[in-house]
Amino acid sequence: MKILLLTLMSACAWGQIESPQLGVMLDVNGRARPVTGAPAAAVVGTPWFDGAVLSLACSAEGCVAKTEAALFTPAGVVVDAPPGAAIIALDSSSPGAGYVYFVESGKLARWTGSQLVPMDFAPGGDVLSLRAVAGGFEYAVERDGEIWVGGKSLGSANSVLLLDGGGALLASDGKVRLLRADGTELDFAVTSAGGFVGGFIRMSNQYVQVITDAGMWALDIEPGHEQISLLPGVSH
Amino acid sequence: MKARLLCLLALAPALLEAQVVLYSLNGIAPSPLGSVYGYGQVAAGDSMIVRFRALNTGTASVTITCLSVKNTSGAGFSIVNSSSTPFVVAAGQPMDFFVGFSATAITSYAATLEVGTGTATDACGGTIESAILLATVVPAPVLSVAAPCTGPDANKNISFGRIAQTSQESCTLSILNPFPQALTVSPLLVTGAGFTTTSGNAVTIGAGQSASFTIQFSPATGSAFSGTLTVGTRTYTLAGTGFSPPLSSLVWNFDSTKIGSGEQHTLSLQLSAPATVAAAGTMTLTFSPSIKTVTDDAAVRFVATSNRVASFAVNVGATAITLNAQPNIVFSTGTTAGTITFSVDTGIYGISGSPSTSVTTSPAPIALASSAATSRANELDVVISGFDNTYSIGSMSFSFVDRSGASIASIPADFSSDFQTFFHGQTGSSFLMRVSFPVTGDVSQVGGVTVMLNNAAGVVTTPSLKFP
Repeated sequence: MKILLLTLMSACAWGQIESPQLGVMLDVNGRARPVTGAPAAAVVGTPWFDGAVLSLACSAEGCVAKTEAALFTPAGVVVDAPPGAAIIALDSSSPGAGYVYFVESGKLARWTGSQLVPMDFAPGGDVLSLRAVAGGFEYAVERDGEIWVGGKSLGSANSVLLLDGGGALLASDGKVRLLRADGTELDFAVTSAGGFVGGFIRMSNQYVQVITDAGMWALDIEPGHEQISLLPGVSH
Repeated sequence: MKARLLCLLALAPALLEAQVVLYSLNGIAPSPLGSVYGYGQVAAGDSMIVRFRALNTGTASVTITCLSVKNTSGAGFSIVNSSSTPFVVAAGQPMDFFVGFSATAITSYAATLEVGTGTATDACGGTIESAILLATVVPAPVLSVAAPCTGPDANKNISFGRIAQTSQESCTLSILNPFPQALTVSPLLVTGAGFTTTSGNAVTIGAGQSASFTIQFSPATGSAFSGTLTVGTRTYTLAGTGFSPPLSSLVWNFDSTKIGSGEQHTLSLQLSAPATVAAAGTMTLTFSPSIKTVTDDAAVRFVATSNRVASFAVNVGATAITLNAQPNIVFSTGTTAGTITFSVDTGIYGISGSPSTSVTTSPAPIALASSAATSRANELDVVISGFDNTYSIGSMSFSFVDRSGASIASIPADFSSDFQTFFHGQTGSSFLMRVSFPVTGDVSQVGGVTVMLNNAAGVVTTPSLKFP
């Protein structure tokens, strides 16, 4: 038993205990707020700053947010950016970096973590979502009433979020469908029949914020943990 | 010249006499008093009081030295309230006084009312304003009222009490003729919103007999109502109050009968019977932890609004109650064992039965949200997140296996004090725990670990966590 050479120290080094972070959400006022606790018993923290965030994406490596005129990170990096909302895809293979598509101008840029580097991009339609893949990126566009990723149709939906690893979230009235890369699907009811799902925000690696006209939801997309919970509203 | 002066002095009494003019007052409106004033018919034993006024219409003050009523037929009139004389009335000012009448003998009565401004020795001689007062005493029937009404009292008030709005209450009234001859009672009238009767406008009652009739009280709203009942010469005040009936009892509907910590549940609320009024109020959530060291859990609340108060409303005729304008409301049970109580405050509307209900989240084994194992050069890391609604987590053991699954070691640990330190100041029991094990040797030989965590409610074991 060479393995006995391993000395598992019974007096183990104590790491730490902390509040679990579910991620960062945008509240109804567009404030970016950290969310902690258990999914169904979450607590919303104070906003990062007193200003409206138009777009947001977070992962284990951090967040990138878009205000009307700038791109910034919680670490304090701020760069000027084209006006309006953006679609942000963080690149897990290059922590802190990602791709940013500016919706109003239709321009794409590589985010290095400290600057935006313009990229040539001709999507051939309105870009709805973006994700980093090995060696580049993929994007979803709407064409002929369906959502397309390259040459593959995901069907019709009013919102889409491309997930790392090949999956996607699709929203239709009152329902969110999780499409796994392996072809499996899971449906989640998020509001009463006819409710409108307005969009998705990547809260963290594990959670996606689902924005509906009736409330905010946190969807756990980790395999085996899939569940959806209502996010706390903000009354102040 | 002297003769002219005497002549003017002789005219002075006549000028004074013309200064005082008598009026009767019906309410606050004065009417000039003629030579005769009739009280009309007065029921035997009743009293009737009339207000009179002596108005000084001159430009100089005048002293009223005499105020009297002299009964000339029977003995029924008397001054019941006045200022004492002599009384100086300034120019343009009045002196009011009250003359009452009451008698029991069935006959006619007369008296002379005198207001004088003469000398002290001849107060009501000389200068006098006067009028003849007349009254007739008529037989009076006796009115009685049966339950649920009460009265009439000394002020002739008949009460219908309080009843629910839009409902109806009927009371039976009887008129007794105590006299040895038939008696016609006229008029017999009911007036006033909310009060009705089916009786005729008059009734003739035989000697010693009674006649009955009913009055219905139907308040249309939740407020006070008044009316009058005229029975011959007597007028009674009818009084009743309508009120909004309390809402029927609450029916609490939770989406599950089994409610535990770390969950979100939906609550809807109904009335057991349709609301008779449109009502609104608030529903409040309170939380009482069953853990002695914990005072609250901030996550226990209505989720959509992040607070513990919701508005409720119900429409007239409906049983469904809206909460924050929605058909139901979602609440979080938090991560602390305890009792969640929902209380409805209906304000002025009131409610039948209990306005509250409670659900209890029982102490439970640690709930695991995620667990993972990673390795570094000389360390093995275990990361576990979840919550412990008993706040007693601490004792645990780590069972390591090699790549073939054979046991290497089982290491007990007790982090109770660390968790108690962490929980202090927290408003919930959620935690993320990172435990690092320093290792001497080939870390890659360690294949996995299983963690058993204890708390006051039981034991929970993680899945077998694989080291990469």
